[in-house]
Amino acid sequence: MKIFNYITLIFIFALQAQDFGTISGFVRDEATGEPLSYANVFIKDTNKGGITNLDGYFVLTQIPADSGEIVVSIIGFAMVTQKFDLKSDQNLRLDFRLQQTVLEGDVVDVFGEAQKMRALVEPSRISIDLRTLESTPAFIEPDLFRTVQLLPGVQTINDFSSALYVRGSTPDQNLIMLDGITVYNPYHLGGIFSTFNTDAIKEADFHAGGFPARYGGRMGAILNVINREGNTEKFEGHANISLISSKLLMEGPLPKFKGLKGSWMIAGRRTYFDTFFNAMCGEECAESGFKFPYFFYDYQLKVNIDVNQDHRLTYSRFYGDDVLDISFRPTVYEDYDILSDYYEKSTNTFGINWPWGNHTNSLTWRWLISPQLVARTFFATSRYRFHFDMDNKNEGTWSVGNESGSYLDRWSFDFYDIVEDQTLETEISWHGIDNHQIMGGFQLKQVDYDLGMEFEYENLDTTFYAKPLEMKQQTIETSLFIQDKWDVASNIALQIGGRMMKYSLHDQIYFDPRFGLKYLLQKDLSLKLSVGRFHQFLTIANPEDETLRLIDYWLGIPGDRAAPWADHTILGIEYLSENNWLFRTETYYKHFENLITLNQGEQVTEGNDQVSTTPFNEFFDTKAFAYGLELLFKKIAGRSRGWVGYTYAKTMKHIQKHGWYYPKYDRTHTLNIVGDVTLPFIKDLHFNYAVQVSSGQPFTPPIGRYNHWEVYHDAFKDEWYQNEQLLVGRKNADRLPMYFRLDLGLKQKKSLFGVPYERYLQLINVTNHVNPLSYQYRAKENRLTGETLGLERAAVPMFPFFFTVGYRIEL
Amino acid sequence: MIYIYIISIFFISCTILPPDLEWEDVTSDHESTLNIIGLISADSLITSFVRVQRTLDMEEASDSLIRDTIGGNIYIYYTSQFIVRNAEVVVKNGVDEYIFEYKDFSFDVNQNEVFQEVYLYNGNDLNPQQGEIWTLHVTAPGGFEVTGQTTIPPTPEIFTEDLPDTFQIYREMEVSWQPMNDNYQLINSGHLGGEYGYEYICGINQEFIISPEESSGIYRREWCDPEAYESSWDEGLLFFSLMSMDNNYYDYFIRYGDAEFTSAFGSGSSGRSFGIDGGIGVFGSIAIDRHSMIMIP
Repeated sequence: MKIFNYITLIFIFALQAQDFGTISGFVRDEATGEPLSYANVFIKDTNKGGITNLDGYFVLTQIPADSGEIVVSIIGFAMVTQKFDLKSDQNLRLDFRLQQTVLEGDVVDVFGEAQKMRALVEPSRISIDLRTLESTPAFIEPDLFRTVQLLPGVQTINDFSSALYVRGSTPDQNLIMLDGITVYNPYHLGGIFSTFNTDAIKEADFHAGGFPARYGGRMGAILNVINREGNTEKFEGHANISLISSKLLMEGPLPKFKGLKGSWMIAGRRTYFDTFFNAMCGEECAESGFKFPYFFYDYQLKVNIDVNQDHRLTYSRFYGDDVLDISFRPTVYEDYDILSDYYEKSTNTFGINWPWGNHTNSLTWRWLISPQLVARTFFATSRYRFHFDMDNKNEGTWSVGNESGSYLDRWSFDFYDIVEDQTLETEISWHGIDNHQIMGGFQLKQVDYDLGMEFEYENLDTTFYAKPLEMKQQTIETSLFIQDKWDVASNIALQIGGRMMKYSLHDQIYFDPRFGLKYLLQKDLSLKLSVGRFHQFLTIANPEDETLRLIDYWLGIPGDRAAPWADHTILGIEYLSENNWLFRTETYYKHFENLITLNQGEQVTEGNDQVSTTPFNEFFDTKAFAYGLELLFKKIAGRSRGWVGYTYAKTMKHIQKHGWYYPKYDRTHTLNIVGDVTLPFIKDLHFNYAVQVSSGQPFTPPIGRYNHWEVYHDAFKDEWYQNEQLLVGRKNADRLPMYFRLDLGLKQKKSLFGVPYERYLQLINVTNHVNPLSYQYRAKENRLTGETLGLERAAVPMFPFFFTVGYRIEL
Repeated sequence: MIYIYIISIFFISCTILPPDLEWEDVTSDHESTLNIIGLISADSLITSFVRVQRTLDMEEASDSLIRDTIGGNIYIYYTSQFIVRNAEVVVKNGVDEYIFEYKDFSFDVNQNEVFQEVYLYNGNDLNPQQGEIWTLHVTAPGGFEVTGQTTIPPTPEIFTEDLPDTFQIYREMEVSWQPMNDNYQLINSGHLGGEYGYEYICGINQEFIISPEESSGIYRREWCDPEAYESSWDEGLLFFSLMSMDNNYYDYFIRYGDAEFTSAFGSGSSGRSFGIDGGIGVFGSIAIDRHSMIMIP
């Protein structure tokens, strides 16, 4: 009932808006036509103002009908002032195109950052733009996820993974979106790289928690990656070649047709080591038929069409695959025995074909129904699949005298997971009431899961087929949400919202309330509070202790299991100092319920002639909590920029089998120091660095050895035997040594025959510090007697010291 | 020029090797405990036995070299430090008490070794009956003491009257048995006969676990490589073995038979115990029914 009173009150306020006008429009980059988000737009000599959203759109309501001046400014662009004459009830449309300025003055930078800080109510949110991505030391090449991993609150599992563990949440609890489309497995090469080509990224919005009601379906964090729209003014291209991949980006305006305007952008990359290896290997490989078996590629395409001033259509596509293709030339075997006149000829072929990746498409229709009312309708498909296919075939013929025959033995093994997501979403934002930004919408998400395993054997007489694992699900998630950002007073803002969800496998209707408060203690010093509940209806079924993860096994939450949820409580303080430092400290508590953890064990066993599996639906009930304190000192302007982030975190999970334990990604202390310095004596030379120090991760320590009893059951004679194993202590009761890594980089812009290019050098793990991935154990042996003494262990190291170079050429 | 530069840097990168593994001793404050497997068999062909071992800590040697003189001959061999040879092992059924004695080796009637480093009962009056509760008491030097308890499972029964006298390969046959309310069973089949004796034969359901209440299954066998074997074989024997087991046996060997912790670098276990108190391992019981029939091509 209170909600209805609240809405009625809002509409009463709306009716009072009669003697005022509205100014709205877009702010874009003059050179490229890219929308400029977080641009400051205000009416001179008044307190009326606002900032542009991610589309570069602004709307100022309740502007007195009068003449005046509107000012638009943003970091790195020249300030624009324009006179206007606004009549009563008029909706004035003013679009701006800002010119980039070479003067990146400190004041402008701080001003832009301050605008973001002042505008946002929710805590734990940070935007990462291309400049930040490119100025962070990179592993081989700039990577969005690797940069996010350096932020406070984000933990890493190991050097080989760019997966994000955020405030006690696992990667499957994060919603990763590309232009609003859910991407299910956003990694290449088992997580070493993220799938997002940084050349195409305009910016990424990262919410570590407490995100507003417009986002749902996940209980961890949100990473929304926005691609560039493409240059509306001229054709441009960038090429980039690094140690492992070559990249190309092209963009330009669409040809003008019957008043339609638009832009396009396509960016692609491909690893070339396979091509390089095959070329170097030459005849030797050609003879054996061996080819380097792995490569990955991806491309992103975006097309915008402005149908008219109020309608825009955007098509966005992402297509990326990793391909492991092991194949050999067929082996032909011939045998002839002259004494028995026996002749046999056989051919053996063997191959593994394993593609995995994401394919997404989306079509977005943005409609400015009125300056205050903007609708965005979005249809997207997202497909993640891996398909491991192994084939072996042996066929041949034989003859002895007049007798002859043939034989065939073929077997194949397939293991696959296909997730197909279709989403229809409409989001309406309304700025019709002064001091309120109301947003509502619905989302319909259908997800088809197909996780299976097939085995087939064939000979000339018979075919044997088994499907030991088949899990097919179709789930439909219907959501409604509404949220209001209400500037209650000049120093108080509230963000109140809720999300209602229906999950097709459950009878229940779920409701997630979200609440945010920002209180300005003084200018540029704000206190933020966020509380909310977050439900999730899907999970991954990978063993939680696996050392390296290549692929994810996605499942919808089964009908007989309650939906997992988490409560977030976040309290933070932000301060922007006059000398360009942004200081943020946040503390959080998260409580998780109804999590599920896979019963780990051998998932496939092949004994005698039988293949059996441990089903993926054998789960343990799990609950968890996480709390922590994060500090961020960020230098946002000047010749030296970067941040120091410190995280104190504790995460614990509980399953009946183990009791409370630290998950593998728990790190108590994490300190990241990241910086970029423009060196004074050499033109355009940048030096960047990243220092990562953190507590060691938990692992389950062996404490002894014993013989595990095993049995071989047989129709004639059962046998009980023993197998020496490690006896382990409590799960994850010990910690690996402290993690330390220092990465350095140099980057310089140059020109060759008038073609600008950038060259870079990256040094990874400069001190060659041994950071253990795990321990391996072996028995010590008395070399004289052969007696087996105790055990010894060695750390399995992650990245050693190495370096990479690359060039980036602008066409 | 750029191309050459990249290639040369790549070559340098490849020459940077990861650091050598540095091996270090591992210590632990683990207190040794007894590790037992005790099996009470209600089947006349399987001997009841108990094995008594202990766990070792990380720095303890797992074997030692022994020089022994037996009958004037010198023997040098390794002996396992896991094995406890001087324990007192007593098994009771509530009425009688059976003392099991340690044997380094035990032979069957054909003088084939069937047991090694095991505790066996020397008498022939150990005769477990279904539903009986049997207990285990192990006392070892050093103050180790372990007890265990198992309930003898019902005797399984294959309904042979429903089976044909002869099974033809490639055909399907329904096998049924007495279902059990509270116990799991395990059925196994095997083939004996033919030119090569015990041959490997393909077929589904060669071995499978029978849940409580299950009463039948479809059986099928076929040759893996018909051209190699079929022509040289005309008749053999098909064996079925139906084993019932108590819950301790099922939990240890089947339900939790897989490694408890696995990683790319090894596997381990927290040392589960089923039917055992004061140590780790399993004290279980089984009963078996068997049946054979002629199998023809």
